[in-house]
Amino acid sequence: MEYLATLSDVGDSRRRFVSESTKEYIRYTRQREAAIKRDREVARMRSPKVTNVMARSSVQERTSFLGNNLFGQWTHNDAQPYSKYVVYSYGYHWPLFIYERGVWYENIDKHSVTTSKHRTQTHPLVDTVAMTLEDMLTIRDHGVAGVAIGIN
Amino acid sequence: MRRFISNVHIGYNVVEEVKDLVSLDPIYMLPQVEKYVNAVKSSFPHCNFGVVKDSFNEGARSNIRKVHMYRDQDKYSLGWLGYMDARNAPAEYIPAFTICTPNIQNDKYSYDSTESYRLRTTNLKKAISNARAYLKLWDPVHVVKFVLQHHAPEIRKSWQEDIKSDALAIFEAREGVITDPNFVDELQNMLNVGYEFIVPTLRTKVMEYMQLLQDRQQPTHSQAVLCVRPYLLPSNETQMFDVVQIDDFDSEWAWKMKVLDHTSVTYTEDTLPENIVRKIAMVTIAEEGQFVDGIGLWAQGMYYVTV
Repeated sequence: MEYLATLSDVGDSRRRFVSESTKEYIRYTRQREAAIKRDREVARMRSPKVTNVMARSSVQERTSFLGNNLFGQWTHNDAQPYSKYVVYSYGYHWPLFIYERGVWYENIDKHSVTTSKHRTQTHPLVDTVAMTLEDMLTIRDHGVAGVAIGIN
Repeated sequence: MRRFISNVHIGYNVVEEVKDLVSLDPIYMLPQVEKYVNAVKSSFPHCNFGVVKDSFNEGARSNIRKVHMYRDQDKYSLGWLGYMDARNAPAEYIPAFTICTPNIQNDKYSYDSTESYRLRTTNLKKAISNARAYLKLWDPVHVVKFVLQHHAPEIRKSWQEDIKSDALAIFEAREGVITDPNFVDELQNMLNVGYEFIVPTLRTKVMEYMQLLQDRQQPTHSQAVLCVRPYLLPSNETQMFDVVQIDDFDSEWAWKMKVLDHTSVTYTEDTLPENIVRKIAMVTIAEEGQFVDGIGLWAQGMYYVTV
């Protein structure tokens, strides 16, 4: 039975048949992404639960925690030699603070009153480098080296 | 966490100096390379793609297989991408989308092989994702390693000779020493065979001189050095500094340092320690490669200061 790739998989405006190697790559990518997502969720759910007002000490010590719509965890990407500690508000789409190689980066974009409140509650109370959401996501995925060369 | 940095030289087959590169029109590239570069280009709006000036022949269209990615403000390119079979002695020639950058540690190959800096795939989508993951500012440890591999003689020379040659130069000027190498060899031979000098104090002076010459050949005591790489974040103009400490800077093999031993720390302009700021300011006044006594020097886009 021929495998019919989705539009997003093949990046084409029409549905079309794709080669065996592409099918294998698509399967591999899906499985890998699912595994990463599952691992992140497991790590999140296993983190010690804290109230949001007490989360600051976890952030300062850079330990994983799970608050109310607020959590912090270490992330590692095989393509990068350094791990990063990231504090998220509501989900992986909104990193509030990232710690990488001795520097704290802070998301200065505003989304909602609660997100701003989360930022105040978890601020590590040290000097931070102000970044936009886009740059924060780049730091999380590629490190500050990615921001330095302006990866989109 | 990556356990180590490869011991392989980061040669000029991995990166090129930006001054040697020239931006290239896609019409000169192999169709597959053109496709690859165009797909990657959108992810790197601030980067240029080009080839080495001397290797470029305008008559040969659709022929370029390897394109370097670089930024004008950098000293070295970020890496290259191409469509070829760059494996060492493959059984069969199978071209594939290949990227090469010091940021890659490909465990499929021996860590002492230059292939460990490359990734290859026949799938364009995977190739684009490889480029996005690895083509970025080098890890500061790689930069230090690269500079020490290729420019250590000149950096270490200016670092040490300013200290050592002082004593030697003073002695030579004071005693009026003839520095002809043949004459020096003769003196050394006279000492070795136990020649009795007519003036006994001359023997002491010759021995002292030989000792100074010997000291000059030997590296000075092991010295810890901070290697500082400055760079700017284009989005908010923040000045950043990556600092790597090398404990055995005088060692000929300092570039074989390992990540675990030499982890780097990043500072901003506000958090950079005061003593480093002061030393950088003093070193910057001097010319490139000129050693500032007791402080350090700047060379190849990096600062080297004493701890």
